[in-house]
Amino acid sequence: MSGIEVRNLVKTYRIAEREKGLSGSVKGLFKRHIREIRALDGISFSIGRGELVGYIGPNGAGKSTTVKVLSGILVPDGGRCTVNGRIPWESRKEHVARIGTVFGQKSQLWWDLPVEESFDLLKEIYRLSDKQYKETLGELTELFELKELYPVPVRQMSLGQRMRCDMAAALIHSPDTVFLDEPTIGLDAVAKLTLRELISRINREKGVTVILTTHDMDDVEALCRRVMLIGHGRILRDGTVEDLRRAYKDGSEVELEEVVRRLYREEALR
Amino acid sequence: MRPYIKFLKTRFQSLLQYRAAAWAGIVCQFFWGIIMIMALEAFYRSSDRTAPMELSRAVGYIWLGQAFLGMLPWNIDRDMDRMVRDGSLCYELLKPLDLHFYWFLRAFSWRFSTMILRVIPQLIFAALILPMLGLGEWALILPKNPLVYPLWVVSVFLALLLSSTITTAANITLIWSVSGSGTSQLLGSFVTLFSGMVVPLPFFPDRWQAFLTFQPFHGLCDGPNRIFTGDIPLSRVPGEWGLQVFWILFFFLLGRILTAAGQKHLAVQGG
Amino acid sequence: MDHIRLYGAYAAQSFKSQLEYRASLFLQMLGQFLINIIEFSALWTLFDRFGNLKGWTLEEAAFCYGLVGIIFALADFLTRGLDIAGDLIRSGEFDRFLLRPRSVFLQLLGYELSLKRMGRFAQGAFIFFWALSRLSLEWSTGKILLILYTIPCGIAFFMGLMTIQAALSIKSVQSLEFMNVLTYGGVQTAQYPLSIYRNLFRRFFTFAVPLGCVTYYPSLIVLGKSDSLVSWAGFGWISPLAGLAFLGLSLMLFTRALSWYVSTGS
Repeated sequence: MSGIEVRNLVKTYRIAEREKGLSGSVKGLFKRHIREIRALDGISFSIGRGELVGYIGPNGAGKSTTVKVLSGILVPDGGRCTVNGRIPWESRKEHVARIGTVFGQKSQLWWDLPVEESFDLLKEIYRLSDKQYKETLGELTELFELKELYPVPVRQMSLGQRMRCDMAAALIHSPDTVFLDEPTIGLDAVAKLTLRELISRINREKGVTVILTTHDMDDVEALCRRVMLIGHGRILRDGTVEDLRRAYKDGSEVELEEVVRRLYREEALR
Repeated sequence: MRPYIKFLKTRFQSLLQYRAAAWAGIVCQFFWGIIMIMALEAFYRSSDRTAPMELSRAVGYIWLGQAFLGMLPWNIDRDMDRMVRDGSLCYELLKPLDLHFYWFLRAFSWRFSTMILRVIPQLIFAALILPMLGLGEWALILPKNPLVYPLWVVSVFLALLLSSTITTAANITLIWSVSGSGTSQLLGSFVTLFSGMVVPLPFFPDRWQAFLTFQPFHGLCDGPNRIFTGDIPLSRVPGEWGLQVFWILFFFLLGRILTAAGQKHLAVQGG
Repeated sequence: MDHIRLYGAYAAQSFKSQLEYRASLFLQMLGQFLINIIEFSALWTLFDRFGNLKGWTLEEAAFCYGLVGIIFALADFLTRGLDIAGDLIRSGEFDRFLLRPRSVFLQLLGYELSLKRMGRFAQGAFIFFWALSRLSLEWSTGKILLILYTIPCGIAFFMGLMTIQAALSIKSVQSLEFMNVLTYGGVQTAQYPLSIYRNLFRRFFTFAVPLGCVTYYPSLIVLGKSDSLVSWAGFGWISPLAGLAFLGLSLMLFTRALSWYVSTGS
């Protein structure tokens, strides 16, 4: 089974709530109310090997829960899911050795050290042979133009530079699937363009399956042929960017962002 | 006064959020108190030398120390430390308030709220629950003379004020210091030692006693505790208050001088 | 072997990171040293006042105090990552460990080897050797080996406590200060000879939470003393092994907490 297969994923969270105000705080010392939230409410899709898919939706819609399940760090309550034939949560270590992840908000690099040191440590973590490591790192260094960044401690990098390093760190073990969670967040226009170009090249040249979650519709338009829109734990739309536009008849002139917003509002009302 | 009161209230509320931490602290303190009492008990039984106070008073002293631990100025305000480091202290300067008084209230509310959260469970445990568990000899014995209570409460309130003025002054030194955690650590160790938290002050060698009574940290814990347990007779209570008031004024003025200097420093440095 | 290699790589990175801030590190180490010396003055004061503690002299008590100081400082140095597991979970950094094909426990251990704890180590060692210099003990190869092997067992014991704390904070997503009762409270307890406490307490710290097994009982053998709770004089020779067993049990708890975390995703 190649690619990603997802059937009917369900996941419910239990959340402790606290009352407002001073008396609420005092009461909270003794007991709390538990509320259930259905983060995934029967999600199904399949993604072919080497596809680049945009996964969009508002905050709390279930995007990151899906990514957590697919990356093996969260077990769903129900449903099935395979990534290149592997069931993510059943053999975490084997699975995560084959995937890469980038979170735009968090760096996996060691903050106080030159980025080269981070790469060396990742070599140990992923048990890469010297030959393998040298080859991939050489490739990535060239692709991401990292040479001049090597001696710089991560804390002194610009966000764009750090993002390039983080992308390289996620690819150092040649994963077959990559999850990018808002990789362009906070970047300036030039850095965004560079990063998009890089994402697209990784996908084309290395044949890596990419799932891109983002709030930036320009990312989606620039990169993805296919988009999945999620809301309230369900897949609301799944198709090409053009399909999404066409779903709004008069929408040929409308920005994609506006289309998504309208679609979402419509679904929420239903 | 309104903004100050509102401020007190929010601060208190945010502290209550840390419920696990609050319980944990309380349990830790019971534990520490019991260890200390068992150790003292063993020392008393091992030796026929005369101790500086009866065991039951020493036990009471330990429990009061634990109950009012939250009040001690043993650390600096982490928020202040952060504000100095990320430069947001400048915004404090923009507030239309008397800066030193505002910081003093900030410290007061902090010390008061951490104290009040722990006092009641600690005292209930030490005075009521321990005897019920059959551990009466480890319990805090309440004074028989009703006059002790009001005099002691005044002294505790003065201790709280003293703690807040010390905290304020220490917080302000952050403006100049490189590492806040260093200041905090040193302040903490001196305060815990010289307030009588580690060992009741009367246990220290007799030749140190005069110094120990007149140093500022005596009024934080040693003084009020010994008024409660009866180790300091009622006739000497006004003198104790006097000492506390002296140090309160001393640290309050020190804080004002430091604030003025700090404001100048910030104005020059730009935070 | 592979694990040791990775741990070594983590340790190297951690040291390099901390040495980026040399001046502050040095100050903190000095601060810790001074604080702990001040704390020791409590013990000194009480011995000065009372002369002895159930037949123990200050030097003998200081031997125990120093030994537990050394052990705890080393454990503290090694387990910073376990200690802050709760914070790492809240910040989301913990998920990163799960996204790597290696043991989560090992990654937590490697997260930071906290050099500033060496201040406490210096204090423990200082008092330990001060006590040794004042005591005229009869040493044998066996006794030296006993001390040398009880130190790693003691570290294992405290690491076990930290592991339990990490496991519980994985389950509750809170930082669990109440575990401090056992860690810092334990250190506090072990700073006095265990024989001064009530029997229930002594049993607790011998059989349930085997702190006494790694510090107190081996010390008895070296100091040539005996204890009424465990009458068998040879107990101290084997008791440190309890520390290793304790770590083993804690690791089982940790593994269970981890699988719980993965299934609830708090």
